[in-house]
Amino acid sequence: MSHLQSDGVNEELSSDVVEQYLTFSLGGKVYGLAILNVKEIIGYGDVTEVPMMPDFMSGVIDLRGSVVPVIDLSQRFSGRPTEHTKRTSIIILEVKNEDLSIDIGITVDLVNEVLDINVDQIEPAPALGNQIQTSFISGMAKVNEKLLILLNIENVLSIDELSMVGNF
Amino acid sequence: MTEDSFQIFADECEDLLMAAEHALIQLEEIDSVEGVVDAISELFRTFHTVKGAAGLFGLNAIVEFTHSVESVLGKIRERELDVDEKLVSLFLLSRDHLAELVENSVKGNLELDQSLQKVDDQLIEQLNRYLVDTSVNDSDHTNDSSSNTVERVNGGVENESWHISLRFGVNVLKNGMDPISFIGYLGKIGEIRSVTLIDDAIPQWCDFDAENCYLGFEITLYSPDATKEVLEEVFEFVIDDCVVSILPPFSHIDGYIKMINDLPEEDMRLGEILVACGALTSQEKDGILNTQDHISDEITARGEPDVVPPLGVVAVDNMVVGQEVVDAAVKKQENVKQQRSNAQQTIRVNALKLENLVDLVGELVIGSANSQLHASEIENSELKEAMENLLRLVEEVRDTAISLRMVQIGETFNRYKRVVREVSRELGKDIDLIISGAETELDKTIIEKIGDPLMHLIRNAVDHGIESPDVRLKAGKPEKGTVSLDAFHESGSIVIQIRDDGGGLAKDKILKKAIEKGIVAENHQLTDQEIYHLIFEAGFSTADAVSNLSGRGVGMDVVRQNIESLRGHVDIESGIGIGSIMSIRLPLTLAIIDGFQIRVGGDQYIVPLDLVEECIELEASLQSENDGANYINLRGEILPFIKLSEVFGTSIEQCKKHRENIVVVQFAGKKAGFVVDELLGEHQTVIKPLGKIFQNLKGISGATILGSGEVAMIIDVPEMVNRVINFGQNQFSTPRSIH
Amino acid sequence: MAIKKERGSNKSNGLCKLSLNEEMTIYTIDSIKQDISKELDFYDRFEMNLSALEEMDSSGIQLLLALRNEVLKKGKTLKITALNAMVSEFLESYGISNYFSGDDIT
Repeated sequence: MSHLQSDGVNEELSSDVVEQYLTFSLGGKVYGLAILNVKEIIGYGDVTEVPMMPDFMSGVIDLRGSVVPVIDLSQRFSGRPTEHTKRTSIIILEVKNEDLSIDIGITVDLVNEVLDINVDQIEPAPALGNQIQTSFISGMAKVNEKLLILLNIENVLSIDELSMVGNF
Repeated sequence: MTEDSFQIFADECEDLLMAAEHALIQLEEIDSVEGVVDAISELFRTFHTVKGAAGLFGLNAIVEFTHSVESVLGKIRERELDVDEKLVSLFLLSRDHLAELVENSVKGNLELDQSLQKVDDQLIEQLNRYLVDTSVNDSDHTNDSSSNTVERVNGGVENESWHISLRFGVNVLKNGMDPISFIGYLGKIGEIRSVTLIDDAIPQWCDFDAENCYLGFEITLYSPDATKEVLEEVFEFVIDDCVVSILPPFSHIDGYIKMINDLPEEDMRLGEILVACGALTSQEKDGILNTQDHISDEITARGEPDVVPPLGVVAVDNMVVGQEVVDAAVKKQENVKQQRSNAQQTIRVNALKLENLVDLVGELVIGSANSQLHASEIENSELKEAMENLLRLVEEVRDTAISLRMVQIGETFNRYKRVVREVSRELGKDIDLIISGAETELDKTIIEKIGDPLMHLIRNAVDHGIESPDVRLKAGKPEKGTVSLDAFHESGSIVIQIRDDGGGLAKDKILKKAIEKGIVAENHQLTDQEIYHLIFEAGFSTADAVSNLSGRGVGMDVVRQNIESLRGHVDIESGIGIGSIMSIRLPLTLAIIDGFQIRVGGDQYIVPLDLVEECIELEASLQSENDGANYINLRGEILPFIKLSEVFGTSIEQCKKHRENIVVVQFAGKKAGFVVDELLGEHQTVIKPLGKIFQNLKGISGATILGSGEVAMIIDVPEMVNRVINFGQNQFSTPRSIH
Repeated sequence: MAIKKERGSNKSNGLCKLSLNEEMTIYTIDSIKQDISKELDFYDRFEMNLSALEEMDSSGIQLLLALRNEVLKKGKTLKITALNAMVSEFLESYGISNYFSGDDIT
C-alpha cells in the first residue's frame, strides 16, 4: 500500500484505515469514487441513444455482449452536457440495487489516478453551498492542496430514481 | 448423505408429489371402478417411493407420515374403502403436508417444529380414522381369506405355505440392509419351512465386489394368518430394487407361471428348485414345463426359430387362466412399457446450463451476423455461399436451442384445477375448469412468470365472474358454471384465454367506481376496452378476498405489471349476463427474434419481423391529415401512422429529400404504420434486456447488438400500435436536443 | 490381517489352512478376499476355520460362496473345519449348512 503523498508534509495520522478512490475530472472539478464500485474504464465511443429518455441519459453501449446504460454525469450534475474530447472516458460502475448489482457507465472528462485516502482525512460534505446535491456527496478530502469531492455512487446513480424516468 | 444426493431426493419428491396432486384431482373425474383402483395403485406407488427414499435418508417423520397415507390408499386398493370427496380433500392436505415435511428436511431440520408437528398429528389422526373404521371388516376379511386358503381353488397348487421368491438388488448391502434380516423377520411372522439360496448371480472370484449383493432366495413360509400386505411390508424398503414375488398358499398355478417367467434363471432349474423346497409338487412342475417343452419341440421340429411361447400363453391354452385375464395383463405390460419409454425420453437438465447454452447461441447469432457483414464486403461467391450455409445452420441451432426452453403449458394449467375446486367450494359455487391447448409450448421463463397472474385471473373468474348457483338458475343458466382455459399460437404470439360464463363485466359500475376512486375524471370519454382495463388500475380493486391459496392479496395492477414485464398484453371482452374473456398475449420467446432493421435519424431500430405486414413508400399524395394524427389510404383501408422520428425526438432528415418509408405492422387485429427514414432489411437479433433503469420506458421493448457492435433498440410494436390507435391520448415527449 | 494362514499349511501337499479372525462382514471382505487371492494358485485343498468369528453378514456368506465356486471350478476342494454357534446358525438360516459339510465337496 502506497503512502499518502502530500507536498513534503508528512502528517501524523491516527488511523491506519485507508480507502482507495478513483479520481476523475468533470467540469473543472475533481471527484473521487470508491474503487470497489469501479468495474472498468473505457474510452468514449459508440454510445447508442435511447429515445424518449432524459438528457442525462447518454444512451447505451455494448460491453462484451451486455447492454450497459451510460449516464452523462455533467448533465446530471450541472445540466451542461459533456463536451467530448479525445480524453473523455466512460467509467463502468457496479451499483447495488436490492440483491442485484447493475452495471452503469458514467461519462467523465478525464480519468486521473487511484489515490489512497486515509479515513481521517475525509470530512463530511458541507450542508449548503454545494454545486451538486448534498446527497450525492459522501465526503470531502483534501489531497495535494486540492479539494476532492467523494461521491456517494448509490445516490448519484440511484436505480430507483433512474428507473422512474420514461414514464408517460 | 451428501448435499447432492439430498438435493436429488428433494427434486424427485417434488416431481412425485406434483404427480400425486394431479392424480388426486383427476380421481374425481374417473367413472369406472377399475379406473379408480388403477389410479389409487399409482398413487400408492408414488407415496411408497417417497417413503422408501425418505427411509434411506433416515427421515423418520416423513416415513411415518407417508406410511399412514399409504395404509389408507392400500385399503382403497383392496376395495375395503371407498373414495369420496372428503377423502380426496384429506389426501390433498396430506400431500401438501408431505411437501412441507420434505422442504423442512431439505433445510436441514431433522425434527418438526411445533406447528408442523401439530398439523402432522391432526392429519395422522384423520387418516387413522379411516383405518380403524374398517378394521372390523378387516378381521372378517382375514377370516374369509383364511377360510379361502383352506379351500382349494380350482387350479390351485397343493402348497399350504406362502412361497416367497427374492432376488436382491445389487445395491442392497450398500444401502445398509442385509438379506439375513429379512429372513429373520419372516421367521417371526411364521414358520420357515425351507430356504433355498440362489447364488447364480455371484460372479467370478476376480470380479467379486464385496459391496454388491448377489443373493436370491426361494423361501417356503408356513403362516396361515399372514396376509399378503403384511408380507409385502417386510420388503417395503427393498421392493423397488429387488424382484420379490409373494405367492399365497394354494395359489393358482398361474401365479407360479408368472413368477417363473419373471425370474432370470432357467425355467427347468427353477421348476426343480420349487419342487425341492416344497412349493410345487413334481406333477405340477412337470405340468407346466412339459407343455412348454412340447411347444418348443414342436416349433423346432417345424424349423421355426426358437420361439417358445411365454408361459402366460401356455397357461391359457391349458385353460388354466382365462384369455381375457392374459390380454389385460399383456395390455398393461405394454402400457407400462410405453409409459416408461415416454418417461425415458426426458432428461433433467440443470436450468443454469440451459440458460448458458441459450446465451451462447445468442452470441453465436451475433457473431455470425458480424461475419456476414464483413464477408459481404468481399467479392467472393464461394465465401458468400459458405456464409449463407453458415447462417442457415446457425438459425437452426438457434431454433433448436430455443425449443429446449419451451415447456408445455399443460402442467401449469393442471395446477389450477385444484384452485378452482377449492375456491368454488369455499364460495359455495359449483364450477368446472375446462382446459384446452395444454400441449401449447411456451418459453420456460414465461411459464414461470405467468403462473401467478393466471392464477389470480382464474380466481377472479371464480370469485367475481361466475354467479352463485341460485342466481344462475334464476337467469336460466345451468347451475354449474364453467371457466375455460385455453392456449394457442396466433400471429407470432402465444394467447392464453380465460373464459367464464358468468355475469360479465358491468361497465357502468366499473366506471362509477373508477370515478369515485379518482382514477378517471368524470367526463372523460372512454371506450369499452378502456373501461374494462380500469380494473387493472392500482387502487381500483377493493379488498380482493385474500384466499388461503394466494394469501398475498395480489392486486390486479400487479397482474398487469407482471404480464407487461413479459412484453405481454391483456385484452378483455365481455357481455352482461353472458360472461367474459380475458386474452393474454405473450411473445413466443424472450430470447431471440427475427427482426426488421430500420433507421430513424441517426439511430437504428428493429421491428419484430413477425408483426411486419409490408413496407411501402410514403408518398405525399397518400397522406391525409386529421387531428394531428396521420392516415393513409392503403388499398381502400384506412391505415393510421406515426412518424417515429417525432416520437423518438430525433432530428427529422430534411436535407436529403429521399422518400420516407412506412412499415406496416399488425398486432391483435389492429394495423398501424411507422414512418421511418430507411429500410435496412431482415436481421436476426438476440434480445438484450435494457435493464431495470429502463423498465418504465414505453415503446421500446429491448435492445440488440448488431454485427457492427452498435446497439439497436427494439420497438415495442403492441405499445406503439396502441398509441397510434388511441390518438386521442397522444402524449409524445418533447423532442430531445441532440448532442 | 483378517485372515491367517496356519501352520500346517504345506505347499508340497497342497493343503492350505486358513482361519478367520473376528469379523467377516462387508467392512473386512475386501481385505480377506485379497489375502485369499494370494494363496489361491498355490494350493489345492482349502480348509477354513471360522471358530473365531464373532461377526458375520451376507457379504461374508457371499464371499464363501464365491470362493466355493472358484475352488470347484478349478477342481480343488474347500472345507469348513471349525465353526461356532453363530456361524452355524447363519449358515442354517441361509439354507447352506450342507454346502460346506465336513465331507469333501465334489
